[in-house]
Amino acid sequence: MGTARGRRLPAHPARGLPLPVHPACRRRDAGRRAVSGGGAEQADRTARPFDAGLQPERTALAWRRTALALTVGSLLGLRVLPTVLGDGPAAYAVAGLGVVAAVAVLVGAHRRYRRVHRLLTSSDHDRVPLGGGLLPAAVAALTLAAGVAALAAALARASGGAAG
Amino acid sequence: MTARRFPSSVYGVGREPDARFTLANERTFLAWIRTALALLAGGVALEALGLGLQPQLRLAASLVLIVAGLATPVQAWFGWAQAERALRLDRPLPSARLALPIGVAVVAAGVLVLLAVVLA
Repeated sequence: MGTARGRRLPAHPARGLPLPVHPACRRRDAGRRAVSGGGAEQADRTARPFDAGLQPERTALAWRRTALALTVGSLLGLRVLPTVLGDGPAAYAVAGLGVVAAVAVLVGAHRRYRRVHRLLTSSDHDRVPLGGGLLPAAVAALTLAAGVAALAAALARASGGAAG
Repeated sequence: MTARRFPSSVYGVGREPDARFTLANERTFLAWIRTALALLAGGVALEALGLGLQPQLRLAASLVLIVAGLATPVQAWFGWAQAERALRLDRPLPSARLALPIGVAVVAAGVLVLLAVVLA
């Protein structure tokens, strides 16, 4: 396959950096360490960042920033949608859906990062298959929907809203 | 983790690139998405905040930003897919197709807002 077998992960300066590991994982890893004496390094690797450049962590933060922007956009829609959908519950429902979707993106991104981190630290080479395009596609679709809502809101405001 | 991933037009070709490149591609895509949301927010704010500007020019500026904000997530997705495919096939990465159009859109919107302020 062309990957270098036996090439160790580069020693990184983050030795000992406490990555937030779920307590259950820590207990499980501690248990494994007790059982298989020489597995200490293996367990340690999952407790540290995979990459000195912190790429998975930066990607996780980018996902969070995006989820935050989506949340803010949905709340902005709450203020603006009533001109399109009227003062009834429709506007709140749509904005509420937007917030729920943003939270879903946040949850999905968290799971994505944990899987990426686990895959990368448990492998001995860098060409590991990571997450697919499903979450990105969902985010792009969500943003497009927000765009359609924005267009409707702007046109409604301009034509029917307060003059000037 | 060899489950079939979406879309197959991307993951069905080539071989797995270095994980760092995949992650960088993902971050680029997310940055474009946040740019789109900012453009949309700007376009909506122009119309929704009741600013005392010349109405037609203000609407034009708003629409320029919103249309840019509509096109951006679409191209962000296709740009991500093209870059991922190029990474897998070890080919040169595509250029950022969104950069020039968005730059033009923002400048145009700015000019329109300036005119709307002057001619209010």
